[in-house]
Amino acid sequence: MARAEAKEMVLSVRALFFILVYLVVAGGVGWGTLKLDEKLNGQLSDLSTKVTELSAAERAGIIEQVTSSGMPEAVTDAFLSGNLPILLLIILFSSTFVVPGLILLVGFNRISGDIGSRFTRYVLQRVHRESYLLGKIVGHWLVSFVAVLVVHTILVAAGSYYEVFDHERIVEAMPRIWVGMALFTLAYVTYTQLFSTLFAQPFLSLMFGIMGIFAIKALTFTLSFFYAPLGQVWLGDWDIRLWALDPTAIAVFAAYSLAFTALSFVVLRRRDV
Amino acid sequence: MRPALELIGITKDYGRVRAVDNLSLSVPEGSLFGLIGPNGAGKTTTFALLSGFLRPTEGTIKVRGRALTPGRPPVGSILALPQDASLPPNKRVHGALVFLARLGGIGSDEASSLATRALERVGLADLAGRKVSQLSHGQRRRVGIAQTLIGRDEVIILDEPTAGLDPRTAEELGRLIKSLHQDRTIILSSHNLREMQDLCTHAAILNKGKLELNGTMDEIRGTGGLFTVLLTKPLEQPEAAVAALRALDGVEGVELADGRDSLRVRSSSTDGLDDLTNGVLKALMDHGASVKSVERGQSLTERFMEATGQQ
Repeated sequence: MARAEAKEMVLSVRALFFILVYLVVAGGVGWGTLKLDEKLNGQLSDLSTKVTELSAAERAGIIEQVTSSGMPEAVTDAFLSGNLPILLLIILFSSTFVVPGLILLVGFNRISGDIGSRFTRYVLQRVHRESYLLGKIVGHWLVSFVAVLVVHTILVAAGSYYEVFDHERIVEAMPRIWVGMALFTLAYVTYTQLFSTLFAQPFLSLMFGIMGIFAIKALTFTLSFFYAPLGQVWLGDWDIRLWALDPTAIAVFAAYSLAFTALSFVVLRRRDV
Repeated sequence: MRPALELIGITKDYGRVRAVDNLSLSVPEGSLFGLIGPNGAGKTTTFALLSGFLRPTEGTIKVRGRALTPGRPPVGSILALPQDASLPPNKRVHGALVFLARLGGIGSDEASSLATRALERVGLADLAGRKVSQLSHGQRRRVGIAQTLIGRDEVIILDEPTAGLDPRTAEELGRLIKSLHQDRTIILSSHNLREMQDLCTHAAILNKGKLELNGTMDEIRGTGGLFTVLLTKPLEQPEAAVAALRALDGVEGVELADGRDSLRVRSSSTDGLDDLTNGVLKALMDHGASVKSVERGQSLTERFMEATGQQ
């Protein structure tokens, strides 16, 4: 099931849609950052280089100052050590909004559409529900992750070709970013499939999926004023830290992925198809 | 015969609507089992329950003696033609069948040849390359039937397989179902009761979610001691003919139809029914009757009407 689903998804228009939209957004953000750097006479790119030349004491001081204002220590450390160049940080920050949205858009009806049209009745007499669900998740994840890799590769290649910004450091940083991206996309894929198993109408899966992301984010943000740790219970509160491969962020994303998968499985087992 | 499928006290509610009500039914292995009922009788729900698509509100379903776990369809045991399920419209017919076959664990080459063979058997070989969206309702139905031919499952469930098919295709499909029955248990439903009577070895009649009748086709039609004589023209002396029949040894009752062109004879025993039939025919001919045919028992349509209160 997983192979058939993956093949169908990777070769679909959805994959192309994902790549094109993400390329336009990430490319646009990158281009905008470069233009800003030009206006600032290269101060941004200089900053990325200069921070790597700081002494240990200076770095410790900056980290203490920055983290006290809310920036995660792992991200600050990665930035100061040159592992997370500022251009990449800005593009990845935009990705935290765009990629989950695209994941939802290309996958919201993978299960709900099958249930709605009752195609599941042809499929589920041949494969078990857990295999069906895992196939959907793997196929959706492959498309999302490969699309992200393709876009990043195009941008890095373009950056290297035109020798803009600190492209060498970006190339060095990419493998770590992709490890983070693998987990980032997996978490949102499983989130999407949970909403897809909940409804037989694809429109409802999409609507509640989008609403869920914003609602949970707004809720945790609001509640954090009353009890600060609640500001860090949602997936979206850890994504920046994930790019620096912060172990806690990795654990949070892995835990959410598992939880969404388990919940989807329970829903699919219990529901009529 | 050992049951291939058993429903034990099955109830299925959709909200406040009870679609199936405490249904207990046994489908013998190797039978061609007809599930009959008017619209809304619960046939499709029963099929979906048997296939594991729906969870029963109450009760147990057993496949070859093993209870089904809710939410775990009997993969590898049952293949079904669901009544209202769609195949992906953008897939090509052959590709859709290969996709389903491969899901069932069949290798690529074998899946392709099985899909080709299945399409030939349902008369759609020349449409193999067409998209599902370009097929008519009847053709899609036949593709749905074709997918039940791909696999080694022992039970095939066909929910109204001939619905929307032209008479010739329906006739061909009837022959196909009979040939499949040689090595499998088949459960089917249809509103064409004549077709069901000819095809099925066993049947159950449902009405408003409840079981009204269940048994072999002979038991349901009451062929034990009942037969109907159809005449080519109305009897000229009906009273005398009926009196002569009633006087025959073993005749329990005689009913003459309103048009005087058919009689229903009930015998007190199933023993010597052939001799009694011959005696009845002789007595009728002695009274100037010309016999067209003799039918054992009631027709399935009559039994259906009686059982569902639609006389």
